[in-house]
Amino acid sequence: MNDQNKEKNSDCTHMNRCQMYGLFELDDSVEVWKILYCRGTYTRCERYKMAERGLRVLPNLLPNGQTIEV
Amino acid sequence: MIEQFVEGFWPFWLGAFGLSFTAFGFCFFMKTPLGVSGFFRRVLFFRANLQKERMQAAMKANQASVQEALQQATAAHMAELSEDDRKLLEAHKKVPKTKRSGKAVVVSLSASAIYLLFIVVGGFVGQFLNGSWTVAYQPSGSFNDLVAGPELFIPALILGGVLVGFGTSMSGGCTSGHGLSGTARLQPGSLVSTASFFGTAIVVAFILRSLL
Ligand code: SF4
Repeated sequence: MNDQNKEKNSDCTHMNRCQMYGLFELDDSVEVWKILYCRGTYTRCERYKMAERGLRVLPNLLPNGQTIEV
Repeated sequence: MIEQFVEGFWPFWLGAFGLSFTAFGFCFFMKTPLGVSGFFRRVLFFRANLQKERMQAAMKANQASVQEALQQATAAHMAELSEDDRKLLEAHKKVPKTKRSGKAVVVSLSASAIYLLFIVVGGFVGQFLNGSWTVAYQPSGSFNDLVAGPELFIPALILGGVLVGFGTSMSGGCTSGHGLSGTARLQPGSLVSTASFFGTAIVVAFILRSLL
């Protein structure tokens, strides 16, 4: 099994402390993020990548690198 | 009884009980594992974390508008999905839904600062109680032979501190995060980290003992 497939079958390791994931959980109409990133290929998530590099992750940053207005 | 605890070292089992009680209690009440280096990082980058906390508060206060903005961003993202992602979504529709709690718990900046402060206060209180508090310019015991005098002792402490900070940052946790919380939850990364740093400490202690 290659790395890409391994990631597709596992949950993001930051799930329990990710604020954005908490928002995704509140609303079924935005569950696409969870499928494609949090429970999909989470290593491509911009939040994940920043957190892995030890950088500060803004709460309004989306997995695709866009931000939502607060 | 009290004098026995105040003078000299406390019994090892009491230390073990105290540490496990702290780690378990923290996890139980705060709903997140204990990790002192994380608190330290939060306090060190307090400006950035303050901004983050303000933004979180704003998101909480405007939950309806945040939800709306999120839905718009989701629609925009859906419009530019790759072929692979589309296939993944289609495949997902056929899988039965499972729910999982995603409650994100982050220890606040103020709670982190208070925890760190009381680590120092606790150390002072313990030392004052057994009357051993003193400003030290040289190491105690046989380490004095290795790094005698402040001109060697202070750089040695700085070097040790830098190495600890570097290792903690590199492995994403310290003795509390990996050693107490991580190993208790059987996290593979924490088991490896704890085995590495305790193993290294044991080896170094043996080497130093044979040198001194
Ligand atoms: S948003 Fe990114 S960092 Fe957060 S849980 Fe999902 S994949 Fe992980």
